[in-house]
Amino acid sequence: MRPVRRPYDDRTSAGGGPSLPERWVFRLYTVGITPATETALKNLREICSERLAVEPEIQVVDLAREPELAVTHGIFAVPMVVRQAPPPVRKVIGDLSDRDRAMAGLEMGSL
Amino acid sequence: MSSPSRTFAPAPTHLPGLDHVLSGGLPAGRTTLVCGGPGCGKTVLAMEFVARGALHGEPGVFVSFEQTAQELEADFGSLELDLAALSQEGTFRLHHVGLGEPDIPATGRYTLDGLLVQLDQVIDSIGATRMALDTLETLFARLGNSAELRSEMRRLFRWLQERGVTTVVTGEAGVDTLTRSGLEEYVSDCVIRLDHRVTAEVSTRRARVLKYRGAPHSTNEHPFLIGHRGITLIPIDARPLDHPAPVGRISTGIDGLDRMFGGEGYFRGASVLVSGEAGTGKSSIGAAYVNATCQRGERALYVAFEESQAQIVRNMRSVGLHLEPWLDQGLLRIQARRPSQLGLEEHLREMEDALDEFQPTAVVVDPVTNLINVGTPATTLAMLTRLVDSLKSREVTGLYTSLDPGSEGATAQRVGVSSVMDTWIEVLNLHRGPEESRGIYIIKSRGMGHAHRMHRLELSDAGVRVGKGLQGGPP
Repeated sequence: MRPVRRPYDDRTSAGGGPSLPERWVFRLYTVGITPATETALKNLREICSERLAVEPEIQVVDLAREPELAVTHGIFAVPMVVRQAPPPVRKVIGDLSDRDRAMAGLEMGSL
Repeated sequence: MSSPSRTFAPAPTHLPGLDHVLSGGLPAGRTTLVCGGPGCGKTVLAMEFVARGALHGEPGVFVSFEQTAQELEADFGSLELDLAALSQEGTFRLHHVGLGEPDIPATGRYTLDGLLVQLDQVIDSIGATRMALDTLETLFARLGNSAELRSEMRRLFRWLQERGVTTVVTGEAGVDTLTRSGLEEYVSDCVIRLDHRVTAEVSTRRARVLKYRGAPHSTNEHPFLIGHRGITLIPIDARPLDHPAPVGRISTGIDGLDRMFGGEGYFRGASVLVSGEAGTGKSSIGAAYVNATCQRGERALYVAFEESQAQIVRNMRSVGLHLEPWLDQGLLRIQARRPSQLGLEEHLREMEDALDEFQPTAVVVDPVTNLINVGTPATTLAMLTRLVDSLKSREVTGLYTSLDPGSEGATAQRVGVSSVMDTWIEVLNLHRGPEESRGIYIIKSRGMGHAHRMHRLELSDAGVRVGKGLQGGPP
């Protein structure tokens, strides 16, 4: 079964039917842009294109520029990838080179 | 008391006794590892270091990886550390580093830079010069003890050193290692191990400085207590390290007995055991000592396990000792308790609280052997050792009476009480002649010359008197 590609619609995930989430948002936390950041970003994109029918929204948060977010968002290791939407929030750390763990951790494996 | 031979300036812990053992404090700008088993007091020590520093004008951050700020504030409320108030003053900050629920899996290379940014932020937020990390081992438990994490840990400790914040990291004792995750591998400047053992009812806590680079420190195991006022460590070698053995003497309150001790009485800070059968006058010797203390204007604490305050005052009046004025003037406090009212640990805690609050220079425990009804001989000895340590650390002279059933010295020996005593006096009934008469002699008295002969002990409404030596030695 292949989900129908639709523009962003906030109600889909809350809807009653078997519809799949339409909006995927990931946040990649890093401290400065390092080779590990780039690897993580590349791996995340690849996993998404393999697993998702929709284009994910990927936000890169550089804690070197916004250090206060490390405290308010509780980031202790980087790179950290947080699945912001759809719920539940899921987090993994590392550059995602272990794809299986990354997909399991972000709960993208059963799609 | 900083020593010129130190490599690092000391950052005082402001904890009684501990700074002495550390020759002034922890190495300033460096990292100290505090390790031990569960409940050994490492979190308390780490917290006290930071909070007391804040009270003394050194802002500090307590970083917790397990307990939340609310949990910590509640835990430390009972220790008279008002963390919320300190936080409001802006000299203290509790920071909880959440590691996520459920576990956050590692999917490849990572660094702890996120943690470093967090620490940097909280340190800067109050200009902290002190920090505690309780405990980094949580990271190992959650992320797995990988080579990667160990190398990041090494980087974290290097960062701490560059940052120059005096830091205490705590670690849970491992099976064959000081800490479960081998934190000792990263700390080269100072390592303190805490130990907590509970034998029946009495807990004994010990602290030992295993390592202190570039500073003289005591290598002994020192008993410490966690009371309402937090940690009190008893430097067992305080005298050899710090000052010469106390030569100060304190009157026994009985001229004849003072003469038996070379004319001067007990050593200040000594532990004195007075043993004997019922009715031999042990309490009177204790009361005479208390009376003399109050006469000098010093405070005395009388812990009574057999009689009420009223009974003690009445009995002592019959031997010419008038205690009421001292009670009225607040120089004497009689703390009458039934041994079974409290467990041993609570008895100790209560006595220690009274020592802190009332600040007596003399303490009488009458009779210390009644506590055997509460604990086993072994636990009573453990408790007594702790009490003696505690009094010594305060240079308080303690007099303990010991009720011997039947043969002399039996109880005291059975419990091993005498081994922790500096001075041991035995009183006994002499059945010589028609009148009731008593004898007194000194079994031992460390570090001083004393009479070896039995003397006559007289109790009358004229007072407690020790007469001249009797013919023949002790029985």
